[in-house]
Amino acid sequence: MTGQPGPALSGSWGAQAEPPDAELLRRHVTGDAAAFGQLFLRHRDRLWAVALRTMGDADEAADALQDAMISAFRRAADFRGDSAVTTWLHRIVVNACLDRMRRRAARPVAGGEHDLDLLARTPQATPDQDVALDVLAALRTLVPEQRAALVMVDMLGYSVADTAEILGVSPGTVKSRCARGRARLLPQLAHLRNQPGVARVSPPAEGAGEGQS
Amino acid sequence: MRGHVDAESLALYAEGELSRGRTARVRAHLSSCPDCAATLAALAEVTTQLSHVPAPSVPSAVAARLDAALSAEAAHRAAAPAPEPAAPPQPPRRNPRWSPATLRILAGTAVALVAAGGIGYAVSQSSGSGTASSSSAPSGQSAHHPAAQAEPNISRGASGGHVMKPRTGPYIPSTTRWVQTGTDYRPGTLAAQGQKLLAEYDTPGISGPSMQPAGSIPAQVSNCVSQTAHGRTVVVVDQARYRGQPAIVIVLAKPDAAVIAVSHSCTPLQSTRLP
Repeated sequence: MTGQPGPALSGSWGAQAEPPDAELLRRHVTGDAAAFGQLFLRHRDRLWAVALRTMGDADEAADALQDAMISAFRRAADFRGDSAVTTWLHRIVVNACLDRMRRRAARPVAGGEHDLDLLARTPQATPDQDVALDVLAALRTLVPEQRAALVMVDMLGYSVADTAEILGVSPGTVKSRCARGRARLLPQLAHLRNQPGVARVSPPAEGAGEGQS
Repeated sequence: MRGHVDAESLALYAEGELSRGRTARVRAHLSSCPDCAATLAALAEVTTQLSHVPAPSVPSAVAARLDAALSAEAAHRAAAPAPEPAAPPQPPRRNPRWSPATLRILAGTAVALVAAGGIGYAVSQSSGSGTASSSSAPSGQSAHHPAAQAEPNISRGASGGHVMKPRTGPYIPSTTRWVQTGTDYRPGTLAAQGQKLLAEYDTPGISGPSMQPAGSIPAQVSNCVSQTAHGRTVVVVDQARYRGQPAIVIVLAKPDAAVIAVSHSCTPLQSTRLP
């Protein structure tokens, strides 16, 4: 991992008295029955976010995350410490997602909008949630490699360097994948755009105006 | 630059991923094209839009499922622990050199039952008196002896029987006499039978119907003899019987004079010193 603290990858080595990731992984390898669970729980939310946003499907994301978790559990001894434990975990998760998407791409497309996100379960979707649903739907039109890069960098805030290490490609490749992904999303998200200068994304003003914060 | 710049080029431009020449042309175009400048700004807003999608937390159902899977995996590992990578892989065991102390312990218990290369040496050395003092238990009991763990060191011969791997190339002096007397050697009389064998065949120039040319000896037998003799001089080898079972009886010359009976799988059966 690079020296600069990525917005999402930092924090696991915080000031709390908990053992660092590498120590937990080492304990797991040497037979500590609880160490891996502790390590995985520490990163579970972030890994879930990566899986869900990359897959675009909660069920598929759960499958991929579980596969990745078991794979990491079994392959912990292979971890050589040439990257951070979080990078290693992310890499396993992303690879599990990409594998699943490639396999899914080989099959006839099944399922429709049901899987977009759990956001849609809110009884009264807020305008922000509508926007989110539109963004997620647009994201699903990208090829998996573009989607993974864009999810990590733009959506979840990982640095280009961290993302490159996780995806196993050069930073330049991450940048070009993100750029092409943004260009592809642009026409699909144009209707969501605010006037210049307004940072907050809001839905198109149809009747209801632009009254929300 | 004529016309507008496409969105992908603008996005690559924003990331600094265009060539130097193309970057300069796009920059020059942007300075005079409000439409392309607006597209560039819109591309930046895509990033903003993506970043505003709330990060999901793990749904409780997914969390429960992951916990269950992890518990199952941990239980599986506890039931069948994988080999720890910290432990170096065990090298294949072959022809172990047992320490003298180990050999003494073995010799003091069930000497003749040990199935291991070179053990005949310890057997004959520790037999002590000139009488048939060693254990006379059948070789079948050797499985109960701790030394039976040496079994994996014995390679499988082509015939399916056990063949000792020669520690070095088989060395048997050309003066060794190979015979097939048909004698059934007995535990209580091994020394006496060995002396009789010696008396009959340790004579220069002797020949008889039971003599065999050395070249006709199967490699399995000669290897075993070499292994058992362990560098000591072999005078006579009798492919005969011991307690009714096919066996190889080896008589060693002085100063190591001894009679050693081994099975056809080269398991030492009994050893006794000769005066």
